[in-house]
Amino acid sequence: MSVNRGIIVDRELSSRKHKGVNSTELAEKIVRERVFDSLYWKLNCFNVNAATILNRCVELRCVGSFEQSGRPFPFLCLFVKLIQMLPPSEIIEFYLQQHEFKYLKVLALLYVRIVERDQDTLRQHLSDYRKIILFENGAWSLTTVDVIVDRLLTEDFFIGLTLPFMGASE
Amino acid sequence: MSQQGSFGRRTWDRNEYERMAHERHKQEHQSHQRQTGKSRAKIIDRAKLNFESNLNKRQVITGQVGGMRGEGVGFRCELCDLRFKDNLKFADHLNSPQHMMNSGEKMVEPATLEQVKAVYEELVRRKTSNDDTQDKPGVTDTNDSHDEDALRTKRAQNHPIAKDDDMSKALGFNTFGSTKR
Ligand SMILES: [Zn+2]
Repeated sequence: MSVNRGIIVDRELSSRKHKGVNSTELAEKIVRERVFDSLYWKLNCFNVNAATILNRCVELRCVGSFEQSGRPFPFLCLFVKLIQMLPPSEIIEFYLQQHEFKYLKVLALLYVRIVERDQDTLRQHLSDYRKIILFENGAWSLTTVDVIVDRLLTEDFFIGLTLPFMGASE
Repeated sequence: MSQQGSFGRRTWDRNEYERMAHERHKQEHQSHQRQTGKSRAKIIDRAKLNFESNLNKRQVITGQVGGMRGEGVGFRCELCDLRFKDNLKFADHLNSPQHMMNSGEKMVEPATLEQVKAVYEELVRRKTSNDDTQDKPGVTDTNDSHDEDALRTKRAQNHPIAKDDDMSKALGFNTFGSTKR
């Protein structure tokens, strides 16, 4: 992927559409571009599918978008890869229901919030109290899965990502 | 190693030196085998580039390769006989159609749920046989004190990266090339 910085090109657009939008565009352009330029992306997110990407997902040890240096965290890179691949919802459901790798679950929760926008699915995970390391606004903190779910249900931003409008719950 | 002889002259302990030389040969032989073993791999595992040291044969070239002027340091794809100034360019090359063709690596198809499950099961097996870096199933809140430790480590570091995660290894790798992300 050579970068011509003079011309505006949408790189790495997905072959998949989600509700009429190219799925890659579910991440803001500024976010995508920085992810695509990262070494982690080039080395770990090329030529993978929803199965092989698990090898990287299970290595996650924190949730965050960008380090202070501007380098994207693996969490964000893998998230962008997920929305680019747009796996069938049964696979996302599998990520959510597995209990061995909690950071994989958080990845799937964020996916459900941003792509599927399904509040009921999110609510099912409000009783998961496992601890999660979070990097947000330049600081590390310890949170839990349920707190993250609650934030996804109620807030407009998460780790600097804009959460799209979800509509009122039934 | 050396001893004072009866005339006050130093004499060499031949056995000792022979043993040392022998061990050195053995080591050299082993490291040579390791290198040649590696270079036979055709498809480069990109992810592996993260955590292997710069001593990996693909990465450090010091001057002896002709062609590129300027710095003699860079990353080399032996397969395509190309050299790159920084690791990002090198990574781009590994993902290029040209390199894919030379290496014979195929583009993967989208995964089915069954394939996802199979990879997952394998990872669970590996995890339980190795160690518990994450929680055990069904256990909440009590068993993840390691996260608190990890957090402490992260906070203690000026650089907001855990030393032992892949990105920091990638960082070591990264500082080699440009300052670009
Ligand atoms: Zn090549």
